[in-house]
Amino acid sequence: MKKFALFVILATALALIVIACAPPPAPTAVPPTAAPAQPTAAAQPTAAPAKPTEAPKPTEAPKPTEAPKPTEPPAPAGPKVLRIGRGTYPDVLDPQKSSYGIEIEVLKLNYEGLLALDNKGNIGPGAADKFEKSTDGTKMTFHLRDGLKRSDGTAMTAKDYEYSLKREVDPCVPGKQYTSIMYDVKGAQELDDYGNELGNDCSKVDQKKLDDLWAAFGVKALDDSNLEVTFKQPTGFWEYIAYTWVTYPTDKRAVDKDPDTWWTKAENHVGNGPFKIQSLEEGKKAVFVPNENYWRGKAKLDRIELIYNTDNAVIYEAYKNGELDINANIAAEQVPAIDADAVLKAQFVRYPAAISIAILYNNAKKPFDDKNVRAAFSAGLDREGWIRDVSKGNGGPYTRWIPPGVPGAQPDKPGVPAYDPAQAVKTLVDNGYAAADSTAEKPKVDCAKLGDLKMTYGASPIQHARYQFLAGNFVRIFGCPITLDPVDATVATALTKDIKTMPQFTRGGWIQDYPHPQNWLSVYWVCGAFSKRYGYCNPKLDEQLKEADTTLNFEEAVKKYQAAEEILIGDVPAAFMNYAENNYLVAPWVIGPKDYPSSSDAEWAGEWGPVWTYDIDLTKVPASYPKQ
Amino acid sequence: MSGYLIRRILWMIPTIFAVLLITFVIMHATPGGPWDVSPDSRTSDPRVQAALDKAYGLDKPLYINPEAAQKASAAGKDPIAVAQAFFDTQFGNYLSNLSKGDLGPSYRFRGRRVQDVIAEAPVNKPFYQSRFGTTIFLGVLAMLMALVIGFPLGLIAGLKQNTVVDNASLLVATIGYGIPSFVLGIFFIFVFAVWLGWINVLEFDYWDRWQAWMLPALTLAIPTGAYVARLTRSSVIEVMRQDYIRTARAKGLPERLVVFRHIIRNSMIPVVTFIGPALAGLVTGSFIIESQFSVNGIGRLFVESINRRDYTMILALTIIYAILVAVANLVVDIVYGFLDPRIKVGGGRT
Repeated sequence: MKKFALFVILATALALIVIACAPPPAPTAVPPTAAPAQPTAAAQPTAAPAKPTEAPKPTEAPKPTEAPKPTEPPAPAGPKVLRIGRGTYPDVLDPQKSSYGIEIEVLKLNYEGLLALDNKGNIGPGAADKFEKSTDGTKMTFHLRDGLKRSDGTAMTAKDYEYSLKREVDPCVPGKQYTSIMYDVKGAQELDDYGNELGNDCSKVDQKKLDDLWAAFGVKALDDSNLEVTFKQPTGFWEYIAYTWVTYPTDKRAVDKDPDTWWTKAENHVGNGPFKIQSLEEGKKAVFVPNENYWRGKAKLDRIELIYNTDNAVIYEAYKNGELDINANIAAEQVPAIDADAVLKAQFVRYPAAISIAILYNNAKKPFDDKNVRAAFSAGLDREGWIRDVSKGNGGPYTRWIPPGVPGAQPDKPGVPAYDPAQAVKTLVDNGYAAADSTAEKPKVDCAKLGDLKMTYGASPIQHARYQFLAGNFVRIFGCPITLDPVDATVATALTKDIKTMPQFTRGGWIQDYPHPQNWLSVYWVCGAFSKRYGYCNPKLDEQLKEADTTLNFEEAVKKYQAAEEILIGDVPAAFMNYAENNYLVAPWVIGPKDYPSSSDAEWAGEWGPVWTYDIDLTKVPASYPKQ
Repeated sequence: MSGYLIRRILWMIPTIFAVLLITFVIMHATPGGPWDVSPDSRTSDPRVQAALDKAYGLDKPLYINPEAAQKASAAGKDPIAVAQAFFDTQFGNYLSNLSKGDLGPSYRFRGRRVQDVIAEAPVNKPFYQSRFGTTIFLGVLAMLMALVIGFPLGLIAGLKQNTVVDNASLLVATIGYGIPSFVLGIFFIFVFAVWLGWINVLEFDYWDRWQAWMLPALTLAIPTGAYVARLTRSSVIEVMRQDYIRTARAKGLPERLVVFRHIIRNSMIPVVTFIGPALAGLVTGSFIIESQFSVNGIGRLFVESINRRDYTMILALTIIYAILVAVANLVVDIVYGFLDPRIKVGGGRT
């Protein structure tokens, strides 16, 4: 009997494996009989004849549309679905608690802030059709457009935005990560400080104190249509904060019912954006359908699907297999393969991203407490080589801080010392680091004077390659040994948070919150801000930035920020190295995203463009394209 | 037998406490915290991070809080309140929550409790579709597949020692054991989805289409199956040299009966010993497979939690794995008794 049972188990399990290799009964993305096309072939609609003998090669196997001609059968009247391949699923989808780009990309399809941003970084109307600034710049009044509705048809008023802005600084709401973005508003920091004192636990709140703090808070709905924001001082840049995710009108009804986890359920996201969340499948998918009540009108797409898989090799294959319309999870090491493939190359979209990367020095620790050493290492940094050999062509060498595409950027002006090996050595030799046998003809650095050099970084295969390049680069130029110190990635981040543990030098950067020079300079480089971690503080820079921040005229303010950037560059607090690049694969049947590139597109092509106008050319889609 | 079971189950409590304490110590000895995001990500303001620490009790001492106890004592509080203040620490509060069945707040999924993230099924779905249920199902399925692949392969190799069949089996097992899961996973995706077009590269409907489980389970099963094959082969060879096999053959028992009645049964003992920890290993080791095949389970969650320093999540998953290993070993010990009557569990009669 036991033997029989064993046989049955073995046979059943074998049968399972065999059946597993059979085609699924009703796959959604594989056509049942349509066209002679294989799904892989149909996935590549642009013409570029593939060599049949080289079919097994991943980049050449899928044939372009030429062979199967997906356009031959009558154009399907199916839905227009934009399927975007993404990486990590968002952690938190609460507008007042979220902070990562992967979270914001979901929220911004579902909600709209007081104002909106276009792909060129311009601020335009959002829920508010207009706004006024007081002449002294301490007040802004946002006028909400008439007839504004949430996706369920309920009317929206200024109170909805007042609620969200209050929630962002509410001492009783824990888990917020971006409260400091509100600190220019009168009373915001005081509320947040009180929340900090309470540990956001309002069971021990002093109600009178809280009431007083709320009374002093500078956000007020004057009536159903007007929202007034009062600042601590004249503020020239707040319209850029008024478009950010922290202003998105969270639905009070949902929060009241379930304050902590309301955001995990799609039906609670009753927003006012161009789309509405239809479903959230944790770790897998976020699906959006048009918001019929969107003030600009119903979006052309029938559905947007953000499809998550953290393995970019899988996303890459899924895109080639016609299961995705945009691959927004491309690794740097995949770029050469894409470039080598004519079909994929034609679909490859790349443009500068608003991300600046630098070698960050510990300005308070030897040898980088000496500006000459900082300048020398900046001149010794082969930025072109980095882009070519390490980034595989992603991004561009850059010696300034504000990256191209952001207001105030001056890509044509020189920044910190650019790559010049001879000048790098000369700078050290001329400033007290010359070796005893150094001569004018053959300058030589005394490594002992520089002391031990160590680069600390978060360990990973890609990081090892990066830091081996950097260390090799400096060793080659200066002839001084550099110790590589790989540590756990989270440890590396933690070390850079405190000047006491900040490594001598390491690679780091900044991803903007909003495309305004204030976010690049004031938020980062004023004394006590992020710059504190690197031991950098220049009161002159602070003064210049304060002036810029309080200048109401945008053009004038930009000039002041540019002057501030010059002060920063003059101090060489870091070796500004490169700007990053947005890399996406966009299928030819997708209309729109490629036409609206933005340096703010941290997540997918056309993220900050007019998504409600994006479309699908159903005559070009492969046979495997969704039918429902 | 029942006394033995109760003793073993009770022993799990100090074992799990020790695992918990060691994990807590190591976790907090490692620099970094839940708000230390990658340098390549958007970074939040240090002042906000301090507020988050306070809101989540991460500003409290780790193990003891003499300062709070002194204050309570000076304020004339009763000894219980003073003791409570002394243990008003991160570890103390965690244990206190744990005793109430609360695994604490997740620092990563802010607003959610750890038990909800692990065990809450998607809206309107049964419990087994939760992350926990998903990973357990995948692990058990992979274990079954590993046995189905490995045991017959090892058995045949052992019975046909030093023949072509044996060498072929050795080759297959070595390849299966040697190829890393992530290579195997992407290879299967490439073959079955890209080349053959039999499945989608991105599969999601695991609970609607049972076939979707096969590739992740097979990928996970192959290295374990290869090990089972090698283990079975050695065991079979050893058993075949035993006196009782010679006796069975000498008394004219048909070879079929020798194999099924004596060889298989006795050679299964080392395999069963291996199954316990291997099953736990399959469940814990499914990180890469879960990532590649978009399986929303706790294997992936575990590794991500370590990277993100989601302390409460790390502790909860460590406890779960400790329990899994303990239970698997207990089951293995019990199964021994059935396979070999000479082995007695708990010193009682079998």
